[in-house]
Amino acid sequence: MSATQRLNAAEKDLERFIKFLALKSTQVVVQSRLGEKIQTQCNPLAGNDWFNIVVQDHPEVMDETKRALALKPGDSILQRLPLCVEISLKTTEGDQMVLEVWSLDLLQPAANGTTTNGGGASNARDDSKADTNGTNGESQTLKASHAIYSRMGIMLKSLISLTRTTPAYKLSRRQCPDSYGIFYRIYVDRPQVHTLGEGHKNVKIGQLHTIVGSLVMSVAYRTKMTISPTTAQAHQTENNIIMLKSDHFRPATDASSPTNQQTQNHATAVTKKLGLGGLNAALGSGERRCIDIEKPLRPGAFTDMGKLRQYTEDDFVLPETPPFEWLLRGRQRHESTGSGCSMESLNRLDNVASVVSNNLHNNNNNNHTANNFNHSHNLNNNSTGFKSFEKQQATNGEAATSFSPIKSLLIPATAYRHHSEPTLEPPPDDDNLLKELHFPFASPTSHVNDLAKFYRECYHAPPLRGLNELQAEVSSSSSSTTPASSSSVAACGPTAAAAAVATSAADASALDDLSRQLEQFETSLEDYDKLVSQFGLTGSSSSGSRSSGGLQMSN
Amino acid sequence: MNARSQVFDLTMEGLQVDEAVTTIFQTVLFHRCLGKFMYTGDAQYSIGTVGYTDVDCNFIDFTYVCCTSDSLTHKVKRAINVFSEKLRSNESCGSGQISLEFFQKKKNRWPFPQESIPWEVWTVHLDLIKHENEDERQLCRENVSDLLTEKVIYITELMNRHDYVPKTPSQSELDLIFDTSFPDVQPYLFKFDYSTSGSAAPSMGNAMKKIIKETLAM
Repeated sequence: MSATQRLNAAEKDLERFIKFLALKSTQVVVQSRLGEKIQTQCNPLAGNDWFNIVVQDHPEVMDETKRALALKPGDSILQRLPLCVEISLKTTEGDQMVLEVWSLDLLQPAANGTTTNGGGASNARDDSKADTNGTNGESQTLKASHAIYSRMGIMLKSLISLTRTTPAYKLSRRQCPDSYGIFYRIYVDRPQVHTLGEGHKNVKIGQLHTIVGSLVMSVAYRTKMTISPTTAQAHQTENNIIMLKSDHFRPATDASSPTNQQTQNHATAVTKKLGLGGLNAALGSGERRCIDIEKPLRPGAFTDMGKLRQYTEDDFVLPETPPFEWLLRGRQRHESTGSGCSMESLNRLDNVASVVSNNLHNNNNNNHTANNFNHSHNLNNNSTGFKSFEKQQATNGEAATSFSPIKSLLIPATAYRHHSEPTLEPPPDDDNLLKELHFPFASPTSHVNDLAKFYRECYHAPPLRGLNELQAEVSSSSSSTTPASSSSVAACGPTAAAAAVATSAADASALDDLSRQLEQFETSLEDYDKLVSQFGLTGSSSSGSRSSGGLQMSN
Repeated sequence: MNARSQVFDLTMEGLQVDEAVTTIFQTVLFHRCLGKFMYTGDAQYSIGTVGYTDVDCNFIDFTYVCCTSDSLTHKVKRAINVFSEKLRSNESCGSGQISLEFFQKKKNRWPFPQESIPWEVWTVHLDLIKHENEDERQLCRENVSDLLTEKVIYITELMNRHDYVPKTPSQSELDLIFDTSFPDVQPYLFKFDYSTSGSAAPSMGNAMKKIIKETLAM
């Protein structure tokens, strides 16, 4: 009786150790990819840091890890391993490449005999398994908790050392917003090493034999770093097909999964991937290949063709004067018609809705058919999700103010959610998409912030009321919007039309004001001349044309 | 005595020696450093925590991690520097080796001095080369970096094996196992040993190592 109690206590201790090892490991990996050198101070007077190593906790990474693990009180972390941290690179052009996958896995002592059915995806696992068999005789199972604790400390130190040696470290140190950024994703699943391309390397960081199984920490990293768009994309095509067919949808329905519990495990992992790694899952899907500059963009369903064409053409033709007028015009169009956004909003809403439904199905995992349907549904939505994310990212890069439209676009989605499942807690996925951009690779001191600030200032500057500009603006906008405005008026109803009339009336009065002012100036020109001559200027400056003379003076 | 012995063979330019050796030794020491022990009873103690620092190399495209301890860094740097100066001096013929040796002390009866028993030895054997032009130098810079990556991976692999390390003693015997002279960290007792081909007769340990190496090479 007491022996079993002791065993249980030891297991509890071990679970706690493993949990904190997992939490600290993700911190180490993600922090090493921030692109900066790290220094933490020793604390000789017995600090409280786990494994006696000072690893600072980044709250965001902590949240992500906890979200990925999704441990409820009373849950054991042993059922939630392997835990993976994926580091990927994304260029400003939108090319994306997975650089490495760090994983912490627990090999059950009994599971040694069973065969894995993951194909290529379980490479690292197989390797480590082979190693386990090889070293089983040599290494004994550790029982004393302090011994395990110190070995975990060594493992964590090894992890710290090794994170500085892989190619991704150098890349992350050189990252800059103009060329590429480094992203991370934490998920609970087998390490997806097939995204690492040919010739990737597996390194086992450490292995620890305990009473609950062998704890294995390993990394798989890419060795071929060249991004050549054609080959990379061709390669991705293959990978995507494999990924979608064999990895995303199989586990939920696969009858060959060893235990029901494991099936459940995988199903949740897939959901996590969609949620947490919505970015990557979407980026990885085939949509990007479809955007071909040669071909015209195809409009979505329910899109007004006339409006769409007008939008894209206008985008390329810049008015000659004045230099920043197009910014103001862009805003006006954005506000008045919003034709460009409607498609995005639909996609976004659709995507969110799918995630919601996904979560919903996740709650009752027994329903396999529903789950399956849900996955196929996601196949479509991944691609659309990418687009909306792109849009979001583009606006984010330019100005922080564009947050509000995105947020507002989400309102219908939440309404939908409440309508369908009021008891469901709101999924964190939408926030996550946004968070990924800001944290942690955008430092407040980066150069882009200046640009964004400048852009914002231009964007919000009050329109200057030059006479010529105003006239040109009024005439051009009225002429250009007439074909579209007829349809938009028809669509928006009488209020919009009334508003349009009111604004044109206001413009006209402003014009009158200006012309009156000008007339006044012209009549009093002589007075001004007199004033200038009173200042004692020589005849040469006043002999030139008056207006240009003024210009010369200012020059 | 059955000390574990690891030998790394490296070939590089004189300028890179310091950083390459430091990378290897600091990585080892990082794993062999504990927090300071604070004894509350003879067998009861709490352990301090170890901070770490990223260090960029100047002559190699590499970053290594070491304990955040100025005194330890200084000690390692000085030892390696003495060796590298010797190795790169005019008398030297351009090859030599330096080793980091972990040992424990054993008390003997009164007239005999304390005995040092090594339990782990890390040796770096170096051959110097000179580059003709900048292209070659650049290539070598990358090669040495790849080489160090390999070595660090190897070191971590060894560290995670369940090999012998001295047991933590009671307070009175702490100095026999650990170097307690540092204010912030507590590494196992260690010392440096070096020889360059131009100077000094090799010690017994070095001769043994040479024999082992030669048999391995065969």
